[in-house]
Amino acid sequence: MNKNFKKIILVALILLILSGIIILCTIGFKKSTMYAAGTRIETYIPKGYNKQDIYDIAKDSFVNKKFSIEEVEKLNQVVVIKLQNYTQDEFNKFKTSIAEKYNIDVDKLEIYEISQPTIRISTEVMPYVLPVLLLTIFSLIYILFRNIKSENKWNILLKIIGILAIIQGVYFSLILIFRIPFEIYTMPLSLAIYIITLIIYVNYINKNTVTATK
Amino acid sequence: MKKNKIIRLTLMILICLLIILVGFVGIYMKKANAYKNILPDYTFASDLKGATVYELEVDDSNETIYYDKEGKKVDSSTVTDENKDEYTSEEKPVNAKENLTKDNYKEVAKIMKQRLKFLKTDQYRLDLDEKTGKIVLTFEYAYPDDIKSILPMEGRLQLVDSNTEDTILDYTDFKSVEASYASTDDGYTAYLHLKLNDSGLQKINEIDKYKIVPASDGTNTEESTENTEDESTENKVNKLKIMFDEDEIAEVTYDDILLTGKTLRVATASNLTSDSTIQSKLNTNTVISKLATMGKLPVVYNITAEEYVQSNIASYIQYVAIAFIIVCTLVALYFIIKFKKEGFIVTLTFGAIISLFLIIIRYAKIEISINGFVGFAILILLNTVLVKNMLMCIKDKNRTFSENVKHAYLKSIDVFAISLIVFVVFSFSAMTSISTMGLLVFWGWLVILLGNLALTVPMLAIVKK
Repeated sequence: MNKNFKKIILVALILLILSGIIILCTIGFKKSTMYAAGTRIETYIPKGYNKQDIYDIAKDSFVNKKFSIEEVEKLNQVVVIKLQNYTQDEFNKFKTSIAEKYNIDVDKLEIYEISQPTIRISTEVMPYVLPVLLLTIFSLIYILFRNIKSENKWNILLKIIGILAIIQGVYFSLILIFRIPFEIYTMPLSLAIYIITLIIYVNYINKNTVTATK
Repeated sequence: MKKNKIIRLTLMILICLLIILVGFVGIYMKKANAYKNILPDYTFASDLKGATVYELEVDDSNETIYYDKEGKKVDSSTVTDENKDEYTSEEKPVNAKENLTKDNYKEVAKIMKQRLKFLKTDQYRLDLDEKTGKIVLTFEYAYPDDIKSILPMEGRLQLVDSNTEDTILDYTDFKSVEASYASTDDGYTAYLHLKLNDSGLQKINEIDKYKIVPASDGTNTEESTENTEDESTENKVNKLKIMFDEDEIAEVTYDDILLTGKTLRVATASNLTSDSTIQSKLNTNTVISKLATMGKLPVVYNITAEEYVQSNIASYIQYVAIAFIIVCTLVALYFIIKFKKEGFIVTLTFGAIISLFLIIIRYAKIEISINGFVGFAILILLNTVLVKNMLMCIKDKNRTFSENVKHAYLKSIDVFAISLIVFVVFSFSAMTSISTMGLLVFWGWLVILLGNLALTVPMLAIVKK
């Protein structure tokens, strides 16, 4: 690959990561309904309910609003809709539709609006920090010993650290820039990318070392 | 010779197909007129299964406080309909408005985390709404029942005079509390040791009528009151209540407390002989001492909801499954197109190894979490690298087949080493959803290492002969 092209790509990636850092420091991640502060609309349906029906009613009542449905208890009698903003009319429509669907008197329908605190992203991220740090340290020690005789051993280590940092930086920057909601799978996906990058790169170094030896 | 080769190969293919069938479909046996899979079910972690959620909200109710004619606060339990006129009452909010601050809410969250640690619970998530003070606790795994009673406790330890209802010592007067017990001739005695601060020490030293003198040499120098006071006077005067929140833990005489240096020892129960009573008293004292040491909650809370919330990510699992099927199909196509016969064999053994792995994790009862899917991805990569190295190496005609296999394993050593580091590091994580990923990688690592030796290598050997 042309050296200038490589440099352009590198500069572009660094700019992308810097933009991500600026967004992180100013407005932060966009949280999904699971993590963002909002309201839980808890509805008690004595006869039991069908999740798809609840989804359809909620979609029809809270037009163009993002929401999630949680099934509470194992008796299938309590359902929770989590969403951020809605009007009283939308709430009333939801209440009436549920009452109609399950033949419950609207006044007797047990439905509660409960405010929900925001969930800090750091509580999701922190459990991953120590294992990933240890994985990196032990892997670097292993790679150092494997390439102990190589003159480029320090370059190899720096390259690995750089590649891992850039790929993770790009991943989170894309999430931040394109306002992709932080979801339950965001951290596992980041971990998967991290480990797979590490394995592929270590395999690549090994391949090159073998070819050079040949 | 060729016939023998075909028979052996067919047998190996049948074994692989059998393993795939068992792993993906199961073994069905007739039980009570119905066919049931005898393989154990998969175990899922809470992120795929569900979790228990507790909601704790700031107590916004009012309490009625009664005062006697002298203006002294009295225990509300002593006020009845008959004697109500003798007291004046006042309605007060349980939580004063000035206490409802962001800092106090944060302090409550901090103390609750300490209490959860004391209850040996580390698999939880605590979310605090700093505006309203609402706390949502999510327990992903089993948690002790004590949580319901211990978390909302105020943690207010007080020593109150039984006669005057004066607070002799309260939570601001000591730094920490410890529980202990000692055996005497009459049985066991349970103690609370209050490490007093300066104000606490001053208060205790000022109460000379209670006959307590600081020990100068660290031994018991309490003045004996037995011979100087008659029994009725002692009963009337020398009693104090150990209060924890609104509960009276014990009522003791002043002879039951002893000041040694800066530590006030309070005997909360004596002459205990039954094992269950000793254990119960000691448990109570331990809980009180720990909660009192962690500090009083600056805001009173109530548990307002306790719910079991089922996982909401079933739709994601479908996508993950589809992604895995696509990746595995692409890998299989790559091998079959590039390596033809040998490619087909490694694809078949790949399927058998995955099946074997699925059977093992079912028997080993390893929980599958979202992070577990990361483990699956690592294992697919690990097997792909090993098998590709194997197929490349066996092409080398300068070495024997076994030398080529050995060479392929050696070429894959780095990938195996990194996977092993993943297992070691992640298995010891405090979060179960992360540690189970480490265990998945370990079992997969072992199955890939040995499974390829048992299935792929013999089949490739037959084809290559």
